[in-house]
Amino acid sequence: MTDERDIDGDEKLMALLSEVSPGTSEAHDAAVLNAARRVAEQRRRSKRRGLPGWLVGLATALPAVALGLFVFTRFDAGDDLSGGNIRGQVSDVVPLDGGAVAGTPQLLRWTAVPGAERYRVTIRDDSALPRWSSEWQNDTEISLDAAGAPSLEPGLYLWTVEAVNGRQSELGPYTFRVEAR
Amino acid sequence: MPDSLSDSALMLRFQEDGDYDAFGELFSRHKDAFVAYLNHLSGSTAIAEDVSQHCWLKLIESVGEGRYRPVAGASFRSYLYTLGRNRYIDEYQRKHGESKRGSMPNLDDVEHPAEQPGDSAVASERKALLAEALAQLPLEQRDVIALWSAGVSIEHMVEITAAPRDTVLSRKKYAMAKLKNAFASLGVTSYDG
Repeated sequence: MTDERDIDGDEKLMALLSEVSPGTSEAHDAAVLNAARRVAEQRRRSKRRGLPGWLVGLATALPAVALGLFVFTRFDAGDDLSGGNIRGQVSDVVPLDGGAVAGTPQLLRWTAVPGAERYRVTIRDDSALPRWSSEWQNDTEISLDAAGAPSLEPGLYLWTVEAVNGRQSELGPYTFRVEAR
Repeated sequence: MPDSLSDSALMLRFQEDGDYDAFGELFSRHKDAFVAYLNHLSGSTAIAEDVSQHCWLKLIESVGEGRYRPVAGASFRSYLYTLGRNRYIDEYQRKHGESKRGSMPNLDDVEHPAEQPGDSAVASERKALLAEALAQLPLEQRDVIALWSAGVSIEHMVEITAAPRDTVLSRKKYAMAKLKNAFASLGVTSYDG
């Protein structure tokens, strides 16, 4: 039997340990609280409508939580990044938004945005944690294998494209589901 | 938001009523200690934040799907810390730690705590020394010290680590001895800055 009296904490050492950790960052807190705010709103709406629990779950499935992390500007292929309000959605993406692919997709493609000079792709897992980001490039498609992206195990992924021209905005997120070959 | 509400009651308010303030209260209660635990466990503020964020989002996801259920006899904090511990081990220790020395992080990867404005040179040196000494502990001992420094009781450590009480106590005892030894070997007998 271990004598617990022998291991009573050294308060000074504990104080030093607590000083070492700086606490959470603003970005961390914002990501969590934004997701919570979004889910709280969905739960309130569902409660008002009296929806059954399983449907509430469906409506608030994982991608919605993940999307709450980021304040994305979605915009049209015809929109100009150089200024003004950006609205609309891009539909011409490969793989199809929400589609399924067998194994890691070979290619990601998006519609060129007039005014955008460079693009960078980021793939996130179903918790919206980044799995891989490309280098900045001019093309509006990328071969994942050639660009050194990791092989993706089956599951849901989100991907976004950052587009830059003086200011920076983001396409997406789009989703694809990797299925076993 | 009443301070008297339990963590589980706050989670249920968040889930059942969409009460964002309830979640905010819960988050503010635990976020700093939780990330401090993960920071001591991993030796990296970046990894700690990544794991912490992942766990909070998983909790929110379960609420969004109406799946959160308090576990009888287990505290919310134990649940949260178990999530964090498992995520760290699965994502960082197993996948990325195989090439490193045993279960220890590579000392080259250990982040030394940033110097705070009020820190003396001695205080900064001791924080750096502590970070390195922690990194040299085996994972199981570092885990217990990280939990202890986050204010987790021995009983909750038993829940989180799934180790017998005597094992937890032994790990803490040996870890404390090693930390003190690390300071003593450099002639430091006081932890004061």
